[in-house]
Amino acid sequence: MKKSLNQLYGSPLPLVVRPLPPIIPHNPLSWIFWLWEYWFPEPEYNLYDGILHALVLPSETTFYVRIDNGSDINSLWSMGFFGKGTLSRSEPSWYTRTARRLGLQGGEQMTSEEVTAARREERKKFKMMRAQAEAEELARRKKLDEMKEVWAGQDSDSVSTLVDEESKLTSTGVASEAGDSKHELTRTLEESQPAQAAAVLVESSASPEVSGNHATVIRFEDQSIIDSNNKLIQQEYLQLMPQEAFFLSYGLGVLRITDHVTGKPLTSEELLTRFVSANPRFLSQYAVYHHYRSLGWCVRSGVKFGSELLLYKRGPPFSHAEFCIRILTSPGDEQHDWWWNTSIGRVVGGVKKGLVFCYVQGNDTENTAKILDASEGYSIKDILGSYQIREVVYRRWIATRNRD
Amino acid sequence: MIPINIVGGRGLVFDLDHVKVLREKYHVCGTLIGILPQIPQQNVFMGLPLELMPEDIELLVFDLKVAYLVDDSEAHKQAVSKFTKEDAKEVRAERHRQEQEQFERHKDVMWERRVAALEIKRRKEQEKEKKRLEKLKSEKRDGTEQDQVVANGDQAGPVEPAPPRIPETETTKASHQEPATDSRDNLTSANTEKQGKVTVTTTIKTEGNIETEREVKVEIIEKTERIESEEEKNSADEEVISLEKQRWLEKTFPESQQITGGTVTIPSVTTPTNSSLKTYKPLAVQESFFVPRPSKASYNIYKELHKKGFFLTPGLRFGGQFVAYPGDPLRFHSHHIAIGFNWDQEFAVLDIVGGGRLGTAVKKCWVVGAEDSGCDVKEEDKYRIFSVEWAGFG
Repeated sequence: MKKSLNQLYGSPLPLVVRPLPPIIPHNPLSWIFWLWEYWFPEPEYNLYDGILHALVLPSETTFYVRIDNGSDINSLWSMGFFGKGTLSRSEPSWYTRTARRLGLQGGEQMTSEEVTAARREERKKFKMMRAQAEAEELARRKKLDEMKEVWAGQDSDSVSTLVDEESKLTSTGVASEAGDSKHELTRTLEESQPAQAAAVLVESSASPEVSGNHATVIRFEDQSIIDSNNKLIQQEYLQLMPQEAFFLSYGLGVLRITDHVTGKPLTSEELLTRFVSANPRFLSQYAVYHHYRSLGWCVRSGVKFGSELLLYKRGPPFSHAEFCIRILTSPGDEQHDWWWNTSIGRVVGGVKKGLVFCYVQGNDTENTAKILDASEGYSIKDILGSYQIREVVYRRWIATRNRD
Repeated sequence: MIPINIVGGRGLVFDLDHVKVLREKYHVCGTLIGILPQIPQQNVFMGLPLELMPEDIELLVFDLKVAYLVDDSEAHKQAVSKFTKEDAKEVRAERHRQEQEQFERHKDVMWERRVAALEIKRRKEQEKEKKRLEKLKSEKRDGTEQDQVVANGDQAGPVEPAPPRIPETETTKASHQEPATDSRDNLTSANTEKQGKVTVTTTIKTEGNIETEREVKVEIIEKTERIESEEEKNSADEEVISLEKQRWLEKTFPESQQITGGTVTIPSVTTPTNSSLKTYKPLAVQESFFVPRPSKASYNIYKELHKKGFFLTPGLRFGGQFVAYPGDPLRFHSHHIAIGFNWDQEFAVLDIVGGGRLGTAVKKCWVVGAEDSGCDVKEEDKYRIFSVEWAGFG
């Protein structure tokens, strides 16, 4: 499992890295080839295509970049975990899920949503079984007590019968000791649980035709997403946050973004103009994003934990996020009460992540004005270079409780 | 009217009765912030003073007008400047009286401890003596059997578990009452036979085994003498006790040490918690004096929830401005984490996400409120509160 994960998500960024050719000591030609390759590497990279869309609301306009090409989506997801599937939790998996549901080609893989659903189903079943076992145990005890009461009123020679009866009852019960039985039951149930879950996994992934059997119900509304060749039409696309899009196009240079309206490719400057016009804090937010990406973290949006960014060590399939980043501009710009700190601290602490307050020093207003004006001319590199980032890790710590 | 002392920009209440009134009548809990002198190494249970939130002060002083503010440092200064020599004398005398009282109590405690120690020691000795006597008797039995009977009968008294010889104080007396009376009866009977006993021993001496006889005789005489003195003590019990106690106390706590406590450490002299300055009178604060006032946004939600019958306490622990309890916090869990805003104040969507998550995690409802200052809004609809809960799909 781990190995296949490494194979699937081997590259941390969507870049192609080529090794230099080998040097053979007694073959001078290979030296020349090596030097040639070293000084004049043939630029080889995949250029992905994205389309810039504007979401116009009465109060404001927001931008997002949309990736439609299936292979581009796969590459951007598997190499650096960029973007989010619009119909999925994070990885675009709508196609697989729906194909399996409709019994069509392409639904062979188990998606993370389905894994979660299977796990929840298992848990529900386990809880039901546990409740049932507990009810049985209770009924058994009640019966035992009643019998004891009955026997207590009778002769003492019947005690032996009672003992017999009791031992019979306990042997038919789940386990001998009342305190133990519950524990043991829980353990056996728990032991069987992952095995069952694994069985479900194997069954559904190994034999699509089996799962296809019970999923041939095609509703009326499903018909519009199946084409004439009985193939599913992709409805989902990958959505990039402005920071991700700008990092891919400006920072890595692997994304070509065209405007949705004009259909023309956008330069980095044009792109930046749109982003800063929609979000006055874009520059500092991008600075933070770029900062952590360049330090090797996998950075994703942290909105679900009430913070700006999440830092993963390698990516969502490997492990949970380790840190939540809350971006604060330099002191004085925005003020928070102390309770605000404890609020976010508790939320982040509750999901066992570290909270990092990221203080960005840099003049967003001035730089935004410079970019929007554009008459003087500016260099993106200089503007981004003027930003400074300092981090403060915040942790709930109580002297009396955190001794170990 | 309840005085609220302003110390370093914080409103404090120093009187327990006032704290009670605030809690029961006005639903204001505040926070106890004083260290308990008896258990200073913890901060779970705190004592007076009670610190009030700025919102509490606003409500009590400016809205309900049931409390007034005291500039603590100014009041203190005035009180001290009006403090005369007579006052000082009085205070000192009072203090001295308290100390003396505590010292007397301390002495009693020490005496009781001594009595208990002596009692234990005596019991041990008695036990030893009893064993020794029995051993002697058994040796004598080898020699003369007939005399043994006589001697045995005589010895019955003193060999019995003897009464507590050390005079008892109130506490020890109570616990030893039962065995004491019992053995005392034995004692008195033994005492009346004192004369006869001596004669018996002499007769023994004239007869059998001389060596052991003499020893036994000496023993018995000693014994009877001791019983005699013991009996005297018992008869004049009370006086002896008090006399002995006095003698011991004078020895242990000489006069020179008694005035101030001297070298003797008195563990239980406590600092008085009430101010004995008679002239310490609360006074109204000056205009220029700094009084902590809450922001309009936070006071509005405080007032609204308070009006609805909630008890409000600071919400720092739960990541909100206030935590609202449906009744006294000692009886109820809180239901809401409340935050007040101005009507058109902006706040981050991320804070709603965080708040909703937090509320769900601590099983409370995260509520935000603001007062709509629009002119066409009815008075009762002016304050609006919204609750946010985390919901999951699928």
